[in-house]
Amino acid sequence: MLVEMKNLVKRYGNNLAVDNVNLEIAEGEVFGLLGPNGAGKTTIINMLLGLTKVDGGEIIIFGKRVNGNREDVSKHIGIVPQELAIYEDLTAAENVAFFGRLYGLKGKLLQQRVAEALAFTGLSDKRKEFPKKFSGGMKRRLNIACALMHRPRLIIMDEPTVGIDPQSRNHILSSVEDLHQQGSTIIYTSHYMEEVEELCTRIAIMDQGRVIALGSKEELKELVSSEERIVVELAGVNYTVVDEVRKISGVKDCILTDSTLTVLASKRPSLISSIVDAITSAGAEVISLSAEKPTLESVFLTLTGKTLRD
Amino acid sequence: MTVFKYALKRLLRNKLNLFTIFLLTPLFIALTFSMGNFDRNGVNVGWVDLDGTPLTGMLRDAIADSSPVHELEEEEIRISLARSKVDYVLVADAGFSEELIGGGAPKLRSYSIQETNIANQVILKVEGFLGAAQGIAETAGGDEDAFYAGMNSFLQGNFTVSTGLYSTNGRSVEAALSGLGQLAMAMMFLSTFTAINLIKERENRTFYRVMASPCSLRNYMLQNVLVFFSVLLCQVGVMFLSVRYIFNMYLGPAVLKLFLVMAVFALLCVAMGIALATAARSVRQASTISSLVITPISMLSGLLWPRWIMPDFLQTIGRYLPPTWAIEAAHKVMLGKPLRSVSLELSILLGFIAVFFLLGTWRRADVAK
Amino acid sequence: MSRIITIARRTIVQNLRDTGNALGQMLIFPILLIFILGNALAPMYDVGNVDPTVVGYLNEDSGPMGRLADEFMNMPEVKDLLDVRPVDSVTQGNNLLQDMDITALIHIPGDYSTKVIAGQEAEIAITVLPGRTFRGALVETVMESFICGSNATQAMLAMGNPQPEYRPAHGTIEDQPFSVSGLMPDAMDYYAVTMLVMIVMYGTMYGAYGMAANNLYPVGRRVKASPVRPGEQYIGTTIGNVATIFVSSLVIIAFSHFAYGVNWGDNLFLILLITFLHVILAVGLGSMAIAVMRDEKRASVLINLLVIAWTFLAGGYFKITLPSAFSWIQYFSPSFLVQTALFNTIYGGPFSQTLLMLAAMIGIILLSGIIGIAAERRSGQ
Repeated sequence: MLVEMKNLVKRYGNNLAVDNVNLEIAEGEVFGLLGPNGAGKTTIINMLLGLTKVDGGEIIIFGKRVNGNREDVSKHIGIVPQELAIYEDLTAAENVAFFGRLYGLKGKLLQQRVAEALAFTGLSDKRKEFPKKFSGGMKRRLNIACALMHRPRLIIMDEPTVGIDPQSRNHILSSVEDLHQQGSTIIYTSHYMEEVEELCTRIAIMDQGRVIALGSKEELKELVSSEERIVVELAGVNYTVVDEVRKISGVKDCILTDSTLTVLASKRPSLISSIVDAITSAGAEVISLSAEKPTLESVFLTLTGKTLRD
Repeated sequence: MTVFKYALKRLLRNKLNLFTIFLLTPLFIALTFSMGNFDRNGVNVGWVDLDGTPLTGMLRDAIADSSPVHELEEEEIRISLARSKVDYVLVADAGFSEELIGGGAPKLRSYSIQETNIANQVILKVEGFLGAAQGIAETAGGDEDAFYAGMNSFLQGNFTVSTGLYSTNGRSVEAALSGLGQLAMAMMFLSTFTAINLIKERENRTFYRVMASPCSLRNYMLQNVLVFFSVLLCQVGVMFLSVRYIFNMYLGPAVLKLFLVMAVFALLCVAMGIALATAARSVRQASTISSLVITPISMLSGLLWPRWIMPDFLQTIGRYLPPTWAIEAAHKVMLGKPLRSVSLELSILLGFIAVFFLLGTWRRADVAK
Repeated sequence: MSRIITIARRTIVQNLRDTGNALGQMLIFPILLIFILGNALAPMYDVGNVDPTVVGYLNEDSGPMGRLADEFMNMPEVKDLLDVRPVDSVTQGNNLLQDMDITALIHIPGDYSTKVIAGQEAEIAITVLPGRTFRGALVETVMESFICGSNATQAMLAMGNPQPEYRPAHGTIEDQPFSVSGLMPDAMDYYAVTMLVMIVMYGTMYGAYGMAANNLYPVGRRVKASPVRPGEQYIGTTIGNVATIFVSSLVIIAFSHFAYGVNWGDNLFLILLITFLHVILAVGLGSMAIAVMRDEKRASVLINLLVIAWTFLAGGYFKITLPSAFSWIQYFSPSFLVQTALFNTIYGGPFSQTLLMLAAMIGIILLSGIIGIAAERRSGQ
């Protein structure tokens, strides 16, 4: 295993930011950490980097405990921080070179790697320009270039696509794909479902400091595949609708927002017709109805009872 | 030394900030203050001569020897006193000389400010002069030519007083010392730059990223300290050279020792900058704190004017401010005293440095915040 | 009109919320500086009595002149002026000088009487600490009055008087003392006025910042896109800033009066009127600087340096006396106009001059307003 986290605990006062987390990440994986804001993703990353004290448990990377070997371990990690961490008053090339030097590169090799990293992120023709003049997406790409140039064995990307244009985003996503092809191990956090679904080979879903589900995306979907999510648009809504639907056997939950009714139920034949009957008997009218296949979003909803993006 | 190299590069790129806000402004303030004379001004004597004889001329010149004399009309006397243009006015009435030469004891009129005895020295001098004139008039027995001959030999008498400024090796270090005070103030302003740069790195998360690399926190801080320390040392060096070779001022007999004292002060400035960077939450707050604090500290520490002119309680406050000790040590060294004699001052400075560095200690736990 | 008030109110709220920064500087800074300058530089403004100057006295002459000198030093007139500390050697005297225990050293050399009797030149040496212009001159004057008698005696001897008699002409001056109390500011009074003027001048920054926010920042552009006319935005921002700085000035005046006992004279209305005009002047200049330069950073550097230069020229840091041929330069400093008006009002200077200063201030206000609005219009099109 490239990364092992054993019984990891982090407290801030009375608040458990990371609650007994156990994770293992193998070489060559693209590992997704998925969860809403405050789930503990960034705290885990800071602990991996040795920037936050571990209150309990241990982290082993490349077979070494991070605690006590931080400098040794960090040599082979590349970090793409959530915020832009680049110097506005150094040119693109100087930024990359600076961080390269911090990781011990120098001379010809340094120059070569700087050129590579800039080319990889599509910034070669901007190498002598200052990031002040860059667009948001270009800055994000430079932010990534600074993390790659020492060819780390483990790359950690903390929400690398927050707030950028679709073009830059696609560029970044395909770069991650390329890195994966080249055999890099990547830890990728996001609260964009689609990105994680598209990129990651294995996913951990976190909420309130705990890992609540772990596996490949197929495995995760399997968790909820015995369930069905049915969305009904109504006219003439009244609250008896909810009560009526809840009475149907197999219905686990039913939520009414405005005129949309979301029903979560175990799969069984004639479920849909029972729902329609219940609605009509409550005096409301069905305008449209759709049954959805499980997505990571619905997995998350099922497991935590809340959506990812609030 | 990567952090050192790139930090220096970035620092030197930001020339406008560096020069205008942190050098030009304090230097401008300091320059204007260096033009001030902070002792009480000499006694300005108003002189109304209604007699207009060689004797009254001699008297006026005698007064002018040590106090500035302003010729006035009789009507201007009161307003000149009230506007503090003059501190004391003497009036020689018509016929004054004639009466004196004839053996009499005529009187001068004077107007003084009731609240002060500042003119006493002038009175002493005038009385001495007129005493001499009366004696000579008596000897001359009313003969005007004999009187003036006597007065001339009196004025060219063998007895003289010579006044010199106290200094060692015959050259005064006061001019260079006030230059050093201004330099010290500029250095403190520059130390704000240390703080601002560090806060900026914290704000823009590059600090986080550097900490995630194999570079240790201690190493990072050390290299940053080194950057600002070397910039300040250069500043001191340039100042020394220009003071010595452009303005041709005397820096005292031991320039290297003086440089050492200023180097200790430079380290103090860096430590202050680091402590400020820890205390201030944002760049704006850091610059507010520094502009509110540095000018008063400079005044109380005697960087803008000599400390001795201040009342005791302000001097006492000054003893708790580090620049006071730097400038005292610099003064002693400039007067040619050995380093041993400034060991107290230097240890106090080192103590302040230690305290500021402790206040400014960053912990790894702060990184992720 | 209501749009102007809306903009003015927003400006005031912004200024007040910014307490930690600008407003703190506008209040704490001047109050601190008035205290330090008023105390530290008190001797420069002191009209009170002068304490005796502490001098070291080294008399190595055992001859008749040496004895005469000792007698002179003990005269009551001299004792009023000099606090004499006898020393035994030049080294001891120099050490006392170095430690600043004495201000000057008077040295009568061992061969003084011998030289006098031989008819040679004889010199008393005084060594003064640097920077003691006043004290140094005082010691010199006193010693000159000592040698005055010797020179007179010698002159009379030369004229053939076998028994010359010298007496200082005590009582030969008829004095009319004249009280100046209330006519002159002491250091605290002086710096309360000049620091108030300086800090209001720094209010120029508010004007500049306000204008920059209106013109150069997105929020300001958004206001511009609303049905507000450029003139209205300019006037509204100016009113808001004027109100902020004027209230700060009131706090400084009140605080300095009650805490430091600063004399602001009897005509508070006129003081407030002058200050009010000055605030408008400062804000107007700042707004104009931005309207013309259209670069906040460059404008604020320029303003910062100008305020220092104007304050210096007006004698705001310490009194300066320019040679009369150059005194017109002071009129180029708006600070000087304001200070003259304020000092005249407090200490009963000529009212006609005060009016002249007020007229000049109004002139500057109108000019900066016209230039500011014109530059604004031009940029708006």
